[in-house]
Amino acid sequence: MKIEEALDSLGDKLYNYLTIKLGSPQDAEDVLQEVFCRLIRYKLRFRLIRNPSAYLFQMARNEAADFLRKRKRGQKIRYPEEEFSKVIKDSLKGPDQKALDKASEALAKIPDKQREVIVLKFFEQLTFEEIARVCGVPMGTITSRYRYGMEKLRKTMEGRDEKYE
Amino acid sequence: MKNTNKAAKILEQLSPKPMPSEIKERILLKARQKKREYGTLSPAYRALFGISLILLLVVLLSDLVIRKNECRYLVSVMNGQQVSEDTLEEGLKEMTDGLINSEDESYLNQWLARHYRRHKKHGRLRNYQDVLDILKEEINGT
Repeated sequence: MKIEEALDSLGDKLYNYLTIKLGSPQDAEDVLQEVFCRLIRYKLRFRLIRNPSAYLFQMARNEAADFLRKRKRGQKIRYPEEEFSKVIKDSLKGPDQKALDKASEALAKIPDKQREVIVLKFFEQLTFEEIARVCGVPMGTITSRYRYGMEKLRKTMEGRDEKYE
Repeated sequence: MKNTNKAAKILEQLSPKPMPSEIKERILLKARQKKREYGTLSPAYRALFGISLILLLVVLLSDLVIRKNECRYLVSVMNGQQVSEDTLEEGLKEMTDGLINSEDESYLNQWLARHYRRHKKHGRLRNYQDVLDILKEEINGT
């Protein structure tokens, strides 16, 4: 797969994943730019690998971690929930606006690691095996994160429904 | 798992928005820029390349000069100029040892050139053809 092809086929998904992971479209762009610059350097390796999609997501994840480390010297960035929820909402689309609001609000509330698995599973269409490779953890850990994350999402969504009823 | 179905159904309806085209262009532009940078040499490599090139040229030129001098000298020897008697006596043993298994005349010429250069300042020279004959006799044992 060539760089241009990779950007065409996976660029949207990577950008979306990074936006939700970093909580900022601008940061996502910077990191994605870095990912593709790195890809130029390792283009031979990239052409040889079997699963370019998982490889690129893994690369994006590592770059995002580096980016956060450099910027905040290891401190975790905490965005205000409403702001983060808006970023998630702006990066997704769906036929039902109410469902979109509900999902983005709930996604902003769950822990980062669980949200990451859910985002990779639902929006980026990766398998659990691929997510495990991207995150560098066993598949069992990924399925647990998914299960707990989904449970928290459900509770948050139900709580929101009750609040608005 | 059944309880999470509702949340999953909501998430399934959603999909990522496409990346703005200007961001895509910026990323491609930067990537191409990097590609060009990697295609050319970095300043450190450029300096290293330059130094290596100069060294290579020096070696080639000095080799050329040495070779030219040797040729000039050999030509002068071949043209009937003389070789020192001392040189001949001194090197004769070495010569016969060296040539005992070899009938290559270029080795002989090289030997002559080497010894001529070393002893030409003494001024006691002998004709090249004589030297050659003597050496050949020595080699052939006649």
